[in-house]
Amino acid sequence: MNILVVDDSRTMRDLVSRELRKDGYEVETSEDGVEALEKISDFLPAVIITDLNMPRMDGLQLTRALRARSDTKYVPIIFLTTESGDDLRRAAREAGATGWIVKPFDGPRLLAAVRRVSA
Amino acid sequence: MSVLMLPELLDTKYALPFSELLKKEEREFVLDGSQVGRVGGLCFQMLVSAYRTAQMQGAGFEIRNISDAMRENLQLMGGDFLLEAKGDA
Amino acid sequence: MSTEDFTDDMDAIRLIFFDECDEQLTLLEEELTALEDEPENGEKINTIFRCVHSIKGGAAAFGMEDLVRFSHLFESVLDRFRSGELSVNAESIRVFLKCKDALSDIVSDFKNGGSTYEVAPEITADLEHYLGSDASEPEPASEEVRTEDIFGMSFAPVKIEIDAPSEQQFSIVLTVSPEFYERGDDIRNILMALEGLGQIKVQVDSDAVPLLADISPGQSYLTWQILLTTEKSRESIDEIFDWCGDDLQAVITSVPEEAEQTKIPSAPVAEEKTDPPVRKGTERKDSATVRVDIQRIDKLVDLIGELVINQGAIQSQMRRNKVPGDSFLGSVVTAQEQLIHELQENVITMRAYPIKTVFQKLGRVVRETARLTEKQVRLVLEGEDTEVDRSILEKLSDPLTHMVRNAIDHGIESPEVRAQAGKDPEGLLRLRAFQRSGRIIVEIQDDGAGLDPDRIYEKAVEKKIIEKGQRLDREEIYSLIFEPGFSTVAEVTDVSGRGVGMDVVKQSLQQINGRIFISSSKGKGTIFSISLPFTLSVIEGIIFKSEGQDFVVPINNVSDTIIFDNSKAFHIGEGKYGYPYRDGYLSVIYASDLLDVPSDKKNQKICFVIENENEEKMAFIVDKIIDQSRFVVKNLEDNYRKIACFSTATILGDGNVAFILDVEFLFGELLKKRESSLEERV
Repeated sequence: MNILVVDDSRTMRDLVSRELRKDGYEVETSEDGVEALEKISDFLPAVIITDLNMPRMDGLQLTRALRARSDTKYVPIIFLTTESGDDLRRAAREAGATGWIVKPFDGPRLLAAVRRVSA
Repeated sequence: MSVLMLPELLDTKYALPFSELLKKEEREFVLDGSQVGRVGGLCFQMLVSAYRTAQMQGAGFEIRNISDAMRENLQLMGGDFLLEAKGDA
Repeated sequence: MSTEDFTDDMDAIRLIFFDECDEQLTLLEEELTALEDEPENGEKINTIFRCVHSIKGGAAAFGMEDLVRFSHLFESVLDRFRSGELSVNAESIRVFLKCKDALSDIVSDFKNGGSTYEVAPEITADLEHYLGSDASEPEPASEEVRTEDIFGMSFAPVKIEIDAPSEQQFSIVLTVSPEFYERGDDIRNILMALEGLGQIKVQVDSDAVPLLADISPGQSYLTWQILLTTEKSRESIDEIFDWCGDDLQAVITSVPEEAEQTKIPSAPVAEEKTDPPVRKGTERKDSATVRVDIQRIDKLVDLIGELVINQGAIQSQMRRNKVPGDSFLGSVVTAQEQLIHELQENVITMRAYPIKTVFQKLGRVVRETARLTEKQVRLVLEGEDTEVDRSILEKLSDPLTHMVRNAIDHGIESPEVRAQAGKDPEGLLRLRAFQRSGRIIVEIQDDGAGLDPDRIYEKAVEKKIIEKGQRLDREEIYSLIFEPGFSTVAEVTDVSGRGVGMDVVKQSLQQINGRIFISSSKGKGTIFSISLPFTLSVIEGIIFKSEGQDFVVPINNVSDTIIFDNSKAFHIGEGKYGYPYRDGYLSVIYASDLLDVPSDKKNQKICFVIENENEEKMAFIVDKIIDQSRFVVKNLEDNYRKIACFSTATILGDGNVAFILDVEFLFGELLKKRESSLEERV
């Protein structure tokens, strides 16, 4: 199964990818929303994991864009972010996010979240 | 009698096209589930609707060659009655 | 790939992280320099914020705590600039540059194998200065969020099981809205997750599904009924629904043990008590739950409050018109009073939450604090199901958090010290809640070093809280730790929270009519015991008059009522009287003194023997008792504040305001003040 990881920090991209690959997922990565949208023209991920705060296009804008496209309208989108405020959760939900997990990065929690949306 | 070949993913995205296809079935519903890897809630609901439509019309409803994944998914959602349905109602 | 490969790439990723830090730091410097030219440029501040944020994120993943802490502080300050609360000037840029240098230093220290790094205090102080009042004056709520932000999710929740896990059954009825699917979720995911908790039996109700001709493919017409047999707690079920919000409706009922074939005789019957449905804005009814917006219940509580006041008005009109109590009208009104009373009690318990919601949050605080202080702590929770009114619970979390941190930071010793003292290297922290005579007691007990009265005394002298040589008993010495200025910022370690002293803890507990007591034994540990009312909305009290003004004294505080004989009162000092009671005598306070009006003390005929939590007694003299009843508590508006010892009041049936006595104030402030003014004169 294919997962797209969108994060502007290479460290985070690498950490998340490593954890997912270890569990047998195939992983693609993008640095921000703009790159993610370009990448999705070539392949369709089964799950998208995105950061909130990114240059050019942030996670909320990306989610809205994905929900407006017919191919990604229903793809599960999980936010992986350090922000834990209620308004951000609400904003993420309203944009169309499926779920969210709060950093710091925690492997088991990440895998559980992926399984929760794509078992 | 035509057999409707079900795709691998009966997910939310497929619910709309699936409804169009099912509406076109004339008398009875014969579906082939051999390729199915996953059934989501909305497509499950379409299957239920087709089953009820068939019962109402006294027509047949059958899912043939059900894959393991499809069987598990239907059972998970409480759809055992869809597995048992066969031939003319 | 083998696991070893993955270990190798962890090191590789660590290197990437340091590279990335260097990149971010370079970018940070560039942007900061550029910011000097255009301090108004919001995009620059944004980029700067992201650099720091990104360093923090990576640092947290590798457990570099000092780096996380400092970048978090820096980030919080930048956030204030980003949001426009503060604006950039030359001075702030200077501070930012210093912080950037500090960040570089920490990063290179970790890169060279260091594991801790202390940032120069003046830099931290500069940053804290920007957080303004929050840093010196605690803002517990945001402190809480901060902690959770950084570390909160790095721990898998550890369930503290007191009883052996036993299987229970839940019946779950599920429906979903179209939005549920539109956000990429699927009922299938939910059912799979439930299956992951134990065994499920699923039935689908498809009666509402239209025929193909009428179906709309995006709608959801199905209802699922699930019987789940699991060893997991109710919370694990709620967790599965956590992301769904209002898009999924779940009615969860715990199936009583009797209905099961296999049953354990000693299993707790208080099944209902284990449900914490209120946390998710739901309310319990029998054992099924319905989600209700908490604001609606608050509204209901308010409305019933009005109803009680109205009821009082009817009764006072009846008295005025001399309607006999045993008349038909009288008995109907009395019956109605009883009904309103029951209604009020019921609604208030609806708003009650199990204290579990607060305790569980503390579990995280305990793990985090233990980790930061390098102590081993075992947390034991008792009485998690004790229910407390929401108004109280909301304000309980912050003081408890501080006290728990404090208990670990200052109470429990390091594993080495404990081992030397012949103790289990693992310290024990026990949180316990229970009801006692109408109040809720919460205890925080540690088996640490205990309080050292001599040290506290010395320190209090040092801080000029007490005079050297002042005679205090042990309890009084302990309570010095609640004095403002006893714990200062310099002494509070980063664990116990910046600048938050125990005085703030005491104050916030006092706001919810809470009292705190300490018992401690050197070398064996300390118990902080907090006593709280069940609710702040209603009190049972006695209404009395003094100099034409109505007052209410809470019934819990009245231990006796006697006829006051003014001739027996004796003078024991200027403005100070004693009154014989049983084998001793009581200090006397006249209600009229509270009003600051000249009064003829001869009017005063009734003496309440008032008792506080410490079982101290005093004689409180009033003109006459009017009635005993339940009163709806209202916080006083500012214009009433001129009377210092009242913070709450109630509105009577005739529309008059009656002040509610703050008994603790009477004992503490009033008696003490008198004594000290006497001492000055002597």
